[in-house]
Amino acid sequence: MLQYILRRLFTLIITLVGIMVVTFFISLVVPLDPLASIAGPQAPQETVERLRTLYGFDQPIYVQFGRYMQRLLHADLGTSFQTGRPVLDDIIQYFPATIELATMALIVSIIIGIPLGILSAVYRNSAVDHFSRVLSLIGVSMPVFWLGLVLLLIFYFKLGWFPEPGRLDIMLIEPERITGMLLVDSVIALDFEVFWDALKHIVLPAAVLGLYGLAGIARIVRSSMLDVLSQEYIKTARIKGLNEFLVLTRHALRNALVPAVTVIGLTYGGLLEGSVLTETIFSWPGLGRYLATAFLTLDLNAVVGGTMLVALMFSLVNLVVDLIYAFLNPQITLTAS
Amino acid sequence: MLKNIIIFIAAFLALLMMAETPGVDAAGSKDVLVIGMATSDIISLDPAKAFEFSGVGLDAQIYDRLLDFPAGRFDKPELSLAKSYEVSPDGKTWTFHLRKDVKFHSGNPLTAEDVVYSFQRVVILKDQPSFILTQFGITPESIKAVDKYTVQITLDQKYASGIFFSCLSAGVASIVDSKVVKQHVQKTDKYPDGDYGLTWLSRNSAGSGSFILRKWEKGDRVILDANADHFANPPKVKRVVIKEIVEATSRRLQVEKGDLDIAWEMYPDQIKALKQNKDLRIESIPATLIYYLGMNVTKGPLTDNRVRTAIRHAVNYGGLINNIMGGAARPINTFIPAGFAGYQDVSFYREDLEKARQLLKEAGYPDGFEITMDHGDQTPNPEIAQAIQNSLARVGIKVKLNKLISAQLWPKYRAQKHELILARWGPDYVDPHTNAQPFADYKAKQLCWRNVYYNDATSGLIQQAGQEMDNDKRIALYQKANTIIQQEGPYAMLFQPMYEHAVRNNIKDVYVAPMFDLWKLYTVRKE
Repeated sequence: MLQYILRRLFTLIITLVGIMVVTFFISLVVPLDPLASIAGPQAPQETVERLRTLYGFDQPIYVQFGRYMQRLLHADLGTSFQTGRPVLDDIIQYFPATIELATMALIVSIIIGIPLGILSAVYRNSAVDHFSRVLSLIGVSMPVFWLGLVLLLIFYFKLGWFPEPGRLDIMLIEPERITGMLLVDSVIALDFEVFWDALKHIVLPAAVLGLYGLAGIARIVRSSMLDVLSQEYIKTARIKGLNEFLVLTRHALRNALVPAVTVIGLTYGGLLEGSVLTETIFSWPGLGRYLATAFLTLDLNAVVGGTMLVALMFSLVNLVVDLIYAFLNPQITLTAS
Repeated sequence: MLKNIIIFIAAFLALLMMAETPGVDAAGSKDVLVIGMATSDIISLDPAKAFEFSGVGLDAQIYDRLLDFPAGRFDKPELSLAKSYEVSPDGKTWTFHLRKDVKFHSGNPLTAEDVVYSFQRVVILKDQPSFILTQFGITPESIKAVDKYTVQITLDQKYASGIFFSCLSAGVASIVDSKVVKQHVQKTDKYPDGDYGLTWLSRNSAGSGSFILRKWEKGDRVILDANADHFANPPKVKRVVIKEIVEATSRRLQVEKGDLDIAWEMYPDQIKALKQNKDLRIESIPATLIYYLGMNVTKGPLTDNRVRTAIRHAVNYGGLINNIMGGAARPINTFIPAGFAGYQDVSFYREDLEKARQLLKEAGYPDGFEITMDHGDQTPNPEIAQAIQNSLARVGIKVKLNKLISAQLWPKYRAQKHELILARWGPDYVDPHTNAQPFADYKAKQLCWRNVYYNDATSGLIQQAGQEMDNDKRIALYQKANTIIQQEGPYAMLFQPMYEHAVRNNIKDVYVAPMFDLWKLYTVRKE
């Protein structure tokens, strides 16, 4: 097992280097000028040229790449043009907010999606099944932008159940930054007023993102449950007179969850990239907007650094998914080969 | 498993229900002013680097300058850190006597050394806004402290005092606390000999202004605390929180709900709805921005001024202003926007399709022609572009629209490779010269040059104005150049948009400014 994990981590490093090289060159060969966003539309010609030299864009690509590699070896991802701060610091600043939101969204997806999937498999073609199908359809097809604004309008503006967009009430003081995740840091600091407020702030954006993930999870759980429920061993369990609840949870669900775990893993990986639209509507200072701006303004260091981070997250989530397979189904063995 | 899940859901919902609504309502507190704004353009708050709208606007709260514009007055700057000045007979050497009662936020007294250091770092760092000072030939050596409270600046030639003073009141001429900044100089890969505090000042402040920067986190918020000891303008509130809210609908909901005191820049459809709300009012002013259509005079039919004039007559200006901008704009036929000295409400062009067709016929294009128009991808640019496409189609000009992101659009414009381009211009400092030079003097390598319109007459007029000490004569020179530019130049001026902000009724003494440099928050009270 340990050997397997080590081997996977080694290939992960190779993947990251590959992604870094590809992203770097793609960014430099696209017909876009990063100077445009650094200098803005109004700067005089001399200023543009002076900045081109200062940022080294007047150098050949291989020189720029060499400099980048040199910095990278010192764990320096370079400075972002849009924040004027090291990219690593930016990631440390924005990523926790995204992890927090992604995790909450995934929890929403799982706690609604899995039971919904089970119920619609057990009560196939019943009202529950139809409801699940419609909800999944809505989750996948409803524009996040629209849904976010509607939820804000109803639950913040009209009903007042949830607070304004943002992570925390303006009058509350953030607890000492340890993980950067307010829900975690407030518990560490035993500041429950901040915890409650942060929790209420995260509900609407997590619901919007969660509804999207829920759709895939509910559908995959339904189909794999249907598959498993028709197996001989389920019939055997029932004939033995086992309680139906135990049949469903112990015997069926555990096997049905294997494909669901893949979908959950992919959903989580996607959520960790950050969601530009949800973050924009809910004024959520996360990675999604940071990366979107980086791509649009060709903030080279942020683009390469951010892409590597996203790749790293996807790879790690995949690794965890594979480990969970083995846990769920002991027949699956993890070998280093 | 299922039982556990159900218990978890129940516990989660119970938790949420137990959560009380926040006890403190930010916008309800009298001491905290809460503004919702799209501040995502800020790159740095260092006055030597900040050149984006919001960054310059924030620096206007944090720093003082030798001269400054009082809240709500935009005609000419008044003495601020300087209490008097004199100029040498040749008009090149300016001596400023500083107030002796000014202290930085750190408690350090503001002296001539700080002024010298502030200007020197701008000139040496040569970042985006540096040209506002270096255009006068200011070098690190040409500025010196005569004594503790006297500064002398020597220019490379005589310049109009109006222009020079306006530039001294621009954000880039903010005075920083040299003792504090020097403690935070870093060696970076771009500045191996030291960065003059550029990195540190991007998110910290060392000023003497009415507000102290407490925090700026891009994507989240800016927090400014009052400097109650300011020598002239102590703020009326203790704290200002500027929340970054990019989505205008979200700003609207929050100001209506009372979670914001001011919602910055509302769009026409929201203004219509907000006017129904009796708890707030709309404060508006024409922004000093100009939307224009640039025409590359070396490209095909655009070489002929009759064609350019035909285009100017074919645009449906009223449609742009009323339909696209929802009425929140005004027509403009000058490169000097309303709000600046020298603005004239003259109308060179109005929609006249007959005249446009006649001009095209005279130029040899009775059936029109095909042409490409580049434009930006952000609202309202695509909408304006489509409206112009429809306008010009009426006289037979088939416009192919080319939507580009800024990293494509501006390099193409600078490389003079466009045919038609939809763009806008905002002044770099508060004087008509900041618009006259780019629009009419090709030697400045700005808009006129980008459209390859090399007119020595207008260039000469602008350069003459640059040295004219008599303000009235100077303005007359701009107006003369403007007439030529409007009649023969490479632009169709489209409109000047309005800034419209939603302000709750308990917020008093808000002076809305036509540009961010003139933004002042120290007057704002909360009842």
